[in-house]
Amino acid sequence: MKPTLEQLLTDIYALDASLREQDAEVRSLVQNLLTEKPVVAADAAFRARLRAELLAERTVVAPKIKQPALPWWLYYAAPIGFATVLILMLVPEYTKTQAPFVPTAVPTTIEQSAPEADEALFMDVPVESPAAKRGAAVSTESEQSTFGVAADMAQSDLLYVGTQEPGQVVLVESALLTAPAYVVIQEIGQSEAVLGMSDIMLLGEQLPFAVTLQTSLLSGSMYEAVLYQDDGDGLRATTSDVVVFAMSFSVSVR
Amino acid sequence: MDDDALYVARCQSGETDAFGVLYDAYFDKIYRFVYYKTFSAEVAEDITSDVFHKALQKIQSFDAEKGTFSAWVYRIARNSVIDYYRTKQTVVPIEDVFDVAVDDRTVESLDAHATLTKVTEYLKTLNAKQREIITLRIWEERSYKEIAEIVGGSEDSVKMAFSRGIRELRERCGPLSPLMLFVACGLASSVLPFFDIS
Repeated sequence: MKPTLEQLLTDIYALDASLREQDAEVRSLVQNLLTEKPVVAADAAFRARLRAELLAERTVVAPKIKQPALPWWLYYAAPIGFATVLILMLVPEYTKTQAPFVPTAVPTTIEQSAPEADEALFMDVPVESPAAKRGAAVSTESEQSTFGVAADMAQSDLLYVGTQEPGQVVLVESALLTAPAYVVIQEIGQSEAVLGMSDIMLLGEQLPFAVTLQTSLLSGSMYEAVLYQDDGDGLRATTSDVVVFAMSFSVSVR
Repeated sequence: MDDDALYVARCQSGETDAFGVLYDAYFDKIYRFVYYKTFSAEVAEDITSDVFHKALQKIQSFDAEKGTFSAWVYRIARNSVIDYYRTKQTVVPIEDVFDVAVDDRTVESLDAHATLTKVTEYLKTLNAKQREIITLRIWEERSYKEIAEIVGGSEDSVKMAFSRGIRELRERCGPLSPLMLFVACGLASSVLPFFDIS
């Protein structure tokens, strides 16, 4: 609403009552300001041209897409959640890289391409071994593992048997099971005779344990420790249970 | 929701024609506002054009909950004037363009020249903020609240600046001040043309 002279004066006196004492001068001043307001009129052609220009810019105005309002706490929770997920992703990777070295089986292909006898202890599952014959069920990860990627095996079944002394006992130094399983000790060669087997162990990491054999280990011979996963019947049946890991070991007199 | 907000909402939903209504309502006000700061029809046209183009481009970002459309478009105009003088690289403070405008103005007629001289002589005695507030209040008929939104600051600070401006004008332009005599002579010469000694 256009303020009149009286309204403006009322305004001014309300803001500064002392000005009321000079009412005549203030009134004259405001009156002058009102009457001397410059008369400004824009060019009609310019006004019409600009209007047409603006309305032609239809493409500029796109419908406003309103974002749904998020609760305030979500702005704080989102970065925390992201950081948590990142930590959960990185910690397992870190622990894997920090895992102790665990010798594992070497794939058959490597054995064939690296025939050095010194490495024979850790090269296992020969092409014609019983495990290979039953190989359809052998853990793929075990078959493809190498020393360098032993850490990758951390989530699968593992077994480690060091060099043994002649006798009727094989010391299994460590075993990591993802399901109930048992260890079978057998000769490598034509006979592939089973010399002994452990009891069925529950899943998890096993403390060192001994497997008693029916026949003594002979110095200079090669043997094999094979980890069989029980098929659920609770019986140690090498024909129906699945081989999940195997490694060879030698026997020597210390 | 006031009429402006209604048309802004329609404009934001894609009805560009609604902007035409806002343009019709504000063109004169913005043009005058710019003209009072530039005293040049040519410059006022350029800046007014710029203001409405910007307003159309940015209409989606206007939020009625944060203020009125009127204050928003006046703020664009105010900033555009400041930008104009910034590009001219004036040596005076950017906020205080009044003196530059008086010197640079292109006067359309002798009558306009006389009026502008008197008006600017009045207003030159004030600082830039007081001058802006007084012209917005008395000439543009904006409320204190709107002026506060346009120039920034609280409504109370705007009222205070307005009151001080009036007091200073009264003190400097009292009945016997040289300025008032000058203005009176100017008025008399326009009423009595035979006094023209040229």
